[in-house]
Parts: sequence; C-alpha cells; structure tokens
Amino acid sequence: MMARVRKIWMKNFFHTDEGWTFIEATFSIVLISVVFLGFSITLLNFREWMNRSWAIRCMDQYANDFMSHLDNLMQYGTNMGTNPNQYGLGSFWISITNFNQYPFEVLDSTLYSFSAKPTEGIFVAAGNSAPVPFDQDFPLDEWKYKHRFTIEDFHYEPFFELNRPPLFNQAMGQVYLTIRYERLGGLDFLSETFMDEYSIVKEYRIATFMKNHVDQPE
Amino acid sequence: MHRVKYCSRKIRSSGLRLAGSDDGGITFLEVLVTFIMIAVATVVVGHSLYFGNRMLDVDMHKQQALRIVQQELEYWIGRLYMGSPGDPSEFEMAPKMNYKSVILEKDTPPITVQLSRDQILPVMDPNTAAIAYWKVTVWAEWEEPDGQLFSREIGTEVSLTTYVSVPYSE
Repeated sequence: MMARVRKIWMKNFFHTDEGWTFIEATFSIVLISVVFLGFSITLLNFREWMNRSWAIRCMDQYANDFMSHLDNLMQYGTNMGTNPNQYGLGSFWISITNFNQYPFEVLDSTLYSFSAKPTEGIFVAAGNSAPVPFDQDFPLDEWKYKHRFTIEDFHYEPFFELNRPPLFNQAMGQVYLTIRYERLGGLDFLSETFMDEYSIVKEYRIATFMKNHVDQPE
Repeated sequence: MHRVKYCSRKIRSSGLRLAGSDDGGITFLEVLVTFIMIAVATVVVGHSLYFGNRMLDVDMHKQQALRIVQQELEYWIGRLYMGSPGDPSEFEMAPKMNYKSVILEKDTPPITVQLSRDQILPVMDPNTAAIAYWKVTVWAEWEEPDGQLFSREIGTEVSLTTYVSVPYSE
C-alpha cells in the first residue's frame, strides 16, 4: 500500500511530462526571488545615495554661484566691512568703485549689503534698495519639509597674516559661508519607504585681493 | 546489458529534467540562462550608476579644489601687486611642494588637498628690459577616499596659472 502511495506521490510531484516538476518550479521561484530582491536592494541603496548626492550638489551649486558673484564684485571692490547682525547671522557690506587713475575720476560707485536668513538664504541689497534673495530657489526643498537646508554661518572676516602691512590685510577680503543639510527621518509617504535621518555640513570660503582698495586715493 | 537499460530508464524517469522540453513550456535551463542574463544586466546597470555618481563626486571635489587654488593665487596676486624689489624674497618665490594642506571635506576619512607652487618667475618686457609681469602657477592634489584607481583616468589635480602685472619696475 505504502509503495503504491509513494509511487503516485512521486509521479505527481516529481515526475511528469506535462509541465515543470516541483523541484524545477521551486528552484525557479528561488532564483527569481533572489534576482528581484537583489535588484530592489540595489535600487533602494542607489536612491539613498542619489538623494545625498543631490543635497550636496544643491549646496555646492548655491554656494559656488554666490561665491562667483561675490568674487566678481570683489574684483572691483574698494572696501569691505561688517554690518550689525541681521536675522541672527553675520552681515557685511562691500563698496564697488570703477575709477580712472590718471586723472583720477570715479565712474561708478555702489554699496552692496549682504545678509542671510538661516532658512531663507542670502539677501543682497544694492545701494538703498530693499534686500532681495540672491537665489529665489533657496531653500531648495522640492519635497516640502523633508529636506531642510539651513545657513549656519555667514560672515566677513578680515584677513590677517603676521609681518604683512595692514593695507595688504585689508585688501584681502574673505567671506565664510556654512550650509547644513538635514533630511528628516521617518516614513516618506511619496515612496512609502522609511528614510533614515541624515545630515551634512559644508563650509565654503572665498578670499580675493581687492586691487582697487590699494589703488584708491587716500 | 539489462542493468544499463535499467539505469538509463531510471535516469529518464528521475525528477530533474534539464533540457529538451517537449510540451512547449519553459525548461529549467532556460530559466537558468534568463537568471544569468538578468543578473549580468543588473550588475552592469548598477556599476554604470555607481560609476556615474562617483564621477560627479570627483567632479565636485575638483570644483572645490579649484576654488582653493584660486584663493591661494589671489594671495600671491596681492603679494606681488603690493610688493617691492626684494619683497617677496627669492626664498618665498622658490618652488614649493605640498607646502599647505587644506581640508576639502570633513568626511571620514577627510579629503585633504595639498597645495604646491611653481617658481614665481618674472617675464621681461623686451622693449624696456623691465619686468612686465610675474608668472604664478599654483596647483592642488588630493586623494579620493576610495583610492586613485577609480579616478586615474581623469586625474585628481587642478592647476591655475596667472600673470600679475606690478605697479613698480626694477
């Protein structure tokens, strides 16, 4: 009796010419599961990685745009100085002058003021005009409240090197900008996945020699 | 002879059929080949994405290093512009390798940029035999955290050269 049952069982599950055997089907399911599991893990990891890279690149792009803008102004700058703090972060001014030296003639002169709000970005005011955001896109959050960009530090610092004349130190203006990126942890409802908390801080510095500071008449 | 026939019949009737489907379905071998093909495709796509992302990282580091080099160059523009005969001294203008380290990213391990400078040389004006301007070259080298092998082809070095005119003449 047992031999007969075994024979029927074996025939039905391991030996048939009409389709896959049980082992073949099991192996196939295991293999396909491995493929899709591996692929899913790869995609999730890559998504996380791209997310971090995106945040770093956003910060770099913003800071580099600002630094390039400031560098351009400082090439014509005559003086720089610190303003009283606004919005809790450092604020500074830079005066731009275009002049002819021989004979001395001021062609154009403007005073720019820079300030920053931690969550709203850098603001620029030219002359007596009201401050306007340097970049309208800050704080760069495309998925509201999940990604937080904060300006932690923004200030002008007089350059100082021992044994250099004061005129040289005054002409070397340097500005520091620190941006912090923070991604809040928790469930991301858009993709229905759990995201870990992540943060990174990057500091940017610019130093430019202002020739006009040296060349301006007393 | 009887035993051989018995064995072959046993193999034919065993559970595992590797190939030779007669019933129009997919054989296990076909699934296996598909698995290998999908695995290879996944690995290639994954590597491409990784490679692309790393290239962006290296490019970003290059951009930051370029700004550091630019700042260093500005210092020397200032020194030469405000200089006088003998200042900067010959010793200061001599070539220097890895004379300054700047932290590029405070990651673990941190990426450190090493700054080097070529000799600052005067370029003479052929008409007046006076110094027309000075030539300054500063470059930066750094090491990527996952080794140089990956970025060997594009290099982890940036260099800037500028010509500084001076108000005084020797």
